[in-house]
Amino acid sequence: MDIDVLFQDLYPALYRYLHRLTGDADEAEDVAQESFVRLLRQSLPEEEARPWLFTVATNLVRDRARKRQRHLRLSDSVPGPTREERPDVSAERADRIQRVRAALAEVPERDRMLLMMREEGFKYDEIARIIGVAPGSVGTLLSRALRRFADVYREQNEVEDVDDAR
Amino acid sequence: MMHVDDGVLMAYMDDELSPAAKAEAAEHVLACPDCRQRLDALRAADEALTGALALVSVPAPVARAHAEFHRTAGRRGGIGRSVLAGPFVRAAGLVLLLAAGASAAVPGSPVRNWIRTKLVSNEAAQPGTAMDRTSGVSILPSEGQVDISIDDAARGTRLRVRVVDAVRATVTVPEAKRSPVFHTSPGHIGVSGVSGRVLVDLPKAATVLHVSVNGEPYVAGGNGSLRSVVTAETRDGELMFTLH
Repeated sequence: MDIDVLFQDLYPALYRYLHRLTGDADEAEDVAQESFVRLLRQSLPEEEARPWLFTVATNLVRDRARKRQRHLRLSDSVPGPTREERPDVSAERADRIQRVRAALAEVPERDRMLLMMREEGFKYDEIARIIGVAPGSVGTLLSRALRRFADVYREQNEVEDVDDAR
Repeated sequence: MMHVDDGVLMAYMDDELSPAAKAEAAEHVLACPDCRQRLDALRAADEALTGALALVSVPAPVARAHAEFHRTAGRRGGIGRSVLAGPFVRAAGLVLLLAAGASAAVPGSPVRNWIRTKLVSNEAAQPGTAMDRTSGVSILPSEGQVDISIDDAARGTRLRVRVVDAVRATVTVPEAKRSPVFHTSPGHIGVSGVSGRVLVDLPKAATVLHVSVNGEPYVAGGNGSLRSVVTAETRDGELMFTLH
């Protein structure tokens, strides 16, 4: 399997992970691109390409956030339309998207990465290796992150329902 | 009764427990309403997350990113290589090369015929041959993929791209006023210094197709279909561009 086939196979999932993690389509595209370019310099067994890419991409996101000297925050503003987002997205949908991002922002950065990795189908031992946590702690960290997200998301939706009812 | 902690419930939900631990957890959940309720809450939270993520997802710009990757990687000197290199693979490659060389020595061998075809195709690109002034090159796809790059095209050059029912990809520059320069690598034709018309025929069976001009993606496609990335005229399934 060569790099072009790997690109076609893995780019969509990597982009999706990065976009969900950062809430920024342009950053997701930049980081995904850089990760694949770095992959060119590697000699890897095929089965290691995917975890390697996600590891590099995760580290790049962390590095960028550190350079910006701020924590990853997804809810400060609704990102403006990018090339891939429809400009005619309704106000209601934009509001729902904002609530999702606000809820995700309440989950600490590392735990958000854990959740997004899990969403991409990574096993617990892979997640532990990529994120850099003890394998035995992944279940506990995920359960806390999942509960945290769900509680905040539910609260936001309840507030919205009350506002609508007024 | 000892309850199961959330980490174990999460691992149970994700099928990450060993068979013995899974059986133990399943038995406990069956008998313990508290733990069953917590497991249900985790499942509900998981569904909420999945639904929420579906709201914020946007499609990945694969075609654009792939073309950009070719440009970036080309500038950094490393496209077209397999990332799967290692001593064993390199040794296997050497054995194959030696075998191909031995096969090429046999009259009528497919390897010999392929080499002859490639040389004839390349000879057509050279000026002053006994052939007509049409210059062209054809290649086979590499792993089902074809990449065509056109550089240093004269202003007003007309580019025509279409899918054909053929095995090879072909780039032809008919009535070339100046001699275009062709270069090829597995699955790739590059041509520079073109004017007049450039005709690109892409095999229907190729799974990934790219055509770029001066580093900019113009056409993407695969499996018999084409899509123009920039403004194009279309006629009978052919894409036509005037290069600026």
